[in-house]
Amino acid sequence: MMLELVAIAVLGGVGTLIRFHFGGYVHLTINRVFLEQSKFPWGTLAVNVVGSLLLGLLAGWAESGRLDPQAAMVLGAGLCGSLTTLSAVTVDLAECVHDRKWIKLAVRLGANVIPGLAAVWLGLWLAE
Amino acid sequence: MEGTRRERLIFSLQLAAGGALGTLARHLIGQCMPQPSAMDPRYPWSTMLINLVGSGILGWIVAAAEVRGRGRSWVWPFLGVGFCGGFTTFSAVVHEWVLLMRAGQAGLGAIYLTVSFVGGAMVALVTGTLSAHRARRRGAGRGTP
Repeated sequence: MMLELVAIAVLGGVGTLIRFHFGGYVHLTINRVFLEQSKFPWGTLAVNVVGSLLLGLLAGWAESGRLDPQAAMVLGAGLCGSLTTLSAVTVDLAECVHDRKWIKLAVRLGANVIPGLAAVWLGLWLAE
Repeated sequence: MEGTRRERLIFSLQLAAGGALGTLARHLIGQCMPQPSAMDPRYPWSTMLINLVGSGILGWIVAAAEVRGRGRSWVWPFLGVGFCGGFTTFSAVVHEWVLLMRAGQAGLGAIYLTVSFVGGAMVALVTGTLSAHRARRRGAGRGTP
């Protein structure tokens, strides 16, 4: 129990570091390739897709008995939970609403939700 | 990242500490409520509440920073990217949505996604508006001796 909490906290710190540094790297790289300052939060999308894919794999392996459910829970809550984030997405959407940019809002909503759902579904399917 | 090596190290330590705390808080709150699973795909109340609260806190921080700059140096790395980022989660939302869909609960699944994303944005908009008002009032107060 205590070990489980320590593991979740440590994985939470690691996931957060990966989210910031890997997400930042993706954002800078995409900006460099397109030679413009892209306002789209590519880094957040990238970590959310990677983390959702990983959670799908963990859940799929746990369901089929190839991974201990407890280990899957610790890794899922600790690593995937902290690698992915929702608050950055919702604050970005809130800015679209504040600026009355409805098309941008719809595009950003779809661009976050659809790849995320596809990623977790792909992970579950690959782990079958 | 900019700054000296020491500043970058402190920034990363704040990220990790905030993220660890947010992740632990999310897990412990989840333990207090019945969790959905593949066997028992109930409505994911804990993830929903956590994401709404975390969106509200981040909305507050971001709006305050837009009015008067980043503020105290630890707020953005520790509380913003670290705590709020680690506390709220995207992967659990999409996974729990798949569990609801598999159980034939498409209606609940649609509600869950809408509340998480649109509801989260609404909460962030409200806290952000309040925070910006407060920051402007304080800023104006400071300007007039």
